Amino acid sequence: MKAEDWKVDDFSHTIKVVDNMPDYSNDPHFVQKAADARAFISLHGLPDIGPCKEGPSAQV
Amino acid sequence: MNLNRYELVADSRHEQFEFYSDGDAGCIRKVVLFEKIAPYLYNLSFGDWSDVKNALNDQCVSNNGDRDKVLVTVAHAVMNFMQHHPYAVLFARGSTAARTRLYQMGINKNWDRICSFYDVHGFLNDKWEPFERDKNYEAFTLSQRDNSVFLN
Repeated sequence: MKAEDWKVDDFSHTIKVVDNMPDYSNDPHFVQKAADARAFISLHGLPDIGPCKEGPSAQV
Repeated sequence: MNLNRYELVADSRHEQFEFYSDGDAGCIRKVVLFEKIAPYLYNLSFGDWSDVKNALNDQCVSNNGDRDKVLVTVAHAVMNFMQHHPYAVLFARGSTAARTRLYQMGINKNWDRICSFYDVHGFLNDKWEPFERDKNYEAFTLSQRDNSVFLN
């Protein structure tokens, strides 16, 4: 595959939405990933994303 | 149909996405999850869903021969998520160093477009800094570059 083929050429395409998707956030791997992310951010904080932003709260 | 990515399906909140990777090892269900871990702050995770274990494995290597196509598809999921969550700050850190490099490759390859819309920071040497393509970061954040258009 050429590098050009990587390009995300259209950000506005529609994506099919379904109502019956399982709640993956309860999966143990995802639970652990979220815990790891919270721990990382608690330890290292977040970058300064600029004054125009709302949030995010640094309270993780 | 865009052959350079897989078709995505989203939940109604646009915080969970599924697609099927179709390659050398067969058809594999991939899950991309944006989990809210604090106000405005979401963690990006993705991995293969095992119907046998009824569980996700975000550390496995599928070897399905379609890495590039998978990365473009995940990038599309990120764009769609950000369109529906314009104030979000997205945090991404791979479960392994190899997975983190994969995230970085995805950003690098789409950088020209990504940098037009988003602020991307990388964590390196115990500090956050604006993303640079030639550095290997431990973690990333992504946020809308200018969300003023969403305030009206």
